[in-house]
Amino acid sequence: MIEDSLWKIFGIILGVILIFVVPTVYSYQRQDDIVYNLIMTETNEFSQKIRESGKVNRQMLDELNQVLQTSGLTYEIELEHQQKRFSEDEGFVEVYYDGVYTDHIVEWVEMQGTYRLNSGDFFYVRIRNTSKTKSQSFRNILGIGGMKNSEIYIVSGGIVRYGNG
Amino acid sequence: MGMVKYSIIGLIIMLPFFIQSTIQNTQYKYKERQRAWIEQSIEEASYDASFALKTYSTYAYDSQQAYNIQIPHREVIRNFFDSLKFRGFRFSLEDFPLIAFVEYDGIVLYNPQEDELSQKNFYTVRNANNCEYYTLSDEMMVFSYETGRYERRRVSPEQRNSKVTQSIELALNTYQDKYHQEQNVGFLLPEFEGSSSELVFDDVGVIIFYDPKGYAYLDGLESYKIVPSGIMKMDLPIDL
Repeated sequence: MIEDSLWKIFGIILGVILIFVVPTVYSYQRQDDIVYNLIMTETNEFSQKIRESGKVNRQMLDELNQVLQTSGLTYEIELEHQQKRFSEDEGFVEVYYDGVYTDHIVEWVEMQGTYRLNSGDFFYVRIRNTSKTKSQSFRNILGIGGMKNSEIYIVSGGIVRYGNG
Repeated sequence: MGMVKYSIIGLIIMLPFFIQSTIQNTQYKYKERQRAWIEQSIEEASYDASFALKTYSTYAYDSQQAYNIQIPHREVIRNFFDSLKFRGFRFSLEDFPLIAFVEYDGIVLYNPQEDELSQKNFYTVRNANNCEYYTLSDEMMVFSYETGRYERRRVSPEQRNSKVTQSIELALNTYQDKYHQEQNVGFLLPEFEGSSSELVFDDVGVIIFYDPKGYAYLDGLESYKIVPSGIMKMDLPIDL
């Protein structure tokens, strides 16, 4: 009798796992993939726009923030501008880069309106999620959280193709 | 009750397969993301190199070669590696055994490990009585051994593509043989992938070869990128 009850309880637990938990984990994983693809597309578009136009302005940053907000997660956005510089040493011209980063770029945009880049500089944007995705949270609850802190980490950028400082 | 027991036992038997498939799917997803990251990093860096090639090349005139494009090889190479470095892409020079510059009248090879640029291998075909010099334009020069004179001739795009591709492959194969002997490794060339007939070299550009061995756990990674710079498509005041 007790054995039958235990089998029933066990069957119910297994049923709950298969009917509710598994589909939920799958659905959350699919959501994460969709968000990842969305953020990747948007990040590539954002960096492309900056590299093709040679400037960063408030509108560009707002558009990026808006799209990021629609995913329901919070993100850390890093902007990196490597300015091409030249130094001369005994007749030889050497190239080096001066790095300008997020705080300075955002501050400049807020104060001056537009931050400009030069053709030949490098510009990169890095985005990582700081809040947990649904699937990360769910896996944490189940104790199968894994090692990854950021499910979403995207880097996009390259050489600036147009710009006149 | 028996039915419930057997159903549960059946499910328990199925569970490891289900977990294994889930783990494999997740691993596959991250592997694909990593492969996309590697491909995208190398592709972006290659395009950055070709942008540098187009932007920093200059046009010169000399009495021997008339108008010609002077390519700042070092600047292009520096831009390629800087692009990878700033992106945060981890690499060693061994991952990039060769960078080739497809120039207007020949190919120049660069060995990143030895930091060495080769002499230009011209697009030439040696015959019994003459030597044919091809360029990326629709004109070729024929040098007659007998008269010692040059003669300009028009060539069809198909003939030009075929001869230029042959010259490039010859230069690459010669390099590969040498590289193979020194390093005891080789790398895939376009012709080995059966795509040489589809290649159209009609613009100055770069070919970046990379060694997929470094990313051996990623199957199907291509081993080269051919990126035209767009120089030949520019509206230039001179006739190249």
